Amino acid sequence: MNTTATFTVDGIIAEAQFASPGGRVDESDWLGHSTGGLWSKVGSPKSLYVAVSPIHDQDETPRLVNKELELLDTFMGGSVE
Amino acid sequence: MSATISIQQVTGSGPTLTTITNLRFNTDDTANPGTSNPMIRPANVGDINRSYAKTIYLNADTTPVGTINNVKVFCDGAIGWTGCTLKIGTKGSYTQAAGTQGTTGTASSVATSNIERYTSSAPKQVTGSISNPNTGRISDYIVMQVSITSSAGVGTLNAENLSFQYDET
Repeated sequence: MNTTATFTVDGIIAEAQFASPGGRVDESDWLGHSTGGLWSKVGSPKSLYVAVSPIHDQDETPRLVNKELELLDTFMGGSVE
Repeated sequence: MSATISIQQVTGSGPTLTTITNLRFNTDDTANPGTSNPMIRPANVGDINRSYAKTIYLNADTTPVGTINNVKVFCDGAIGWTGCTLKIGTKGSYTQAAGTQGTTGTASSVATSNIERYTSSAPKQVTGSISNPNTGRISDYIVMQVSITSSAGVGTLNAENLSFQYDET
């Protein structure tokens, strides 16, 4: 007697997650750089989280280099938050 | 009277056996994971992420009158999961799935053949048999794993049917 037994297979696929927007970067998140970087979110039409190296002012406040922001803005066709 | 047949999923180091009617691919070593630890689509073209390898076998819950053998497994020839490949292989012994939970499974050295090549007219032969009065595992372990590329769609993959076929006397 020839018999069959059927079952199903499925799954769920999610986007890769890099970090929370605005969160600080640990060394474990971003190898090759020391602690202290920032994640920045590039806006519409898609969201992209990018790690940028901290540039320290005299008051030690991390900031982005303007040129980096311009390049990211152009690349994404959106605004930088 | 025909034997009662089930499909067992094997997980953990124990291992743990779970009767399933649906196998969900994800990125941990559990059966019926729900929405936890989904597969992750790689961000970069050319990169591949994987599900954890999932292991099942055909089981005789009750003994056949005679023998169950000639086990085969197949699909309809088209797994409609964009950017994904479902691979299959068989092995006589069980190896616990490994990987980085929540991210990707370790590439299986067993599940290496695209399951789409195995159809009802050209099924994959699976070693194993069981005879009266025995119950338990009939077939070799069947290992399956999904490879995910950056072109995969995000969300729930449509359920696909897979079938075991076997002879029973």
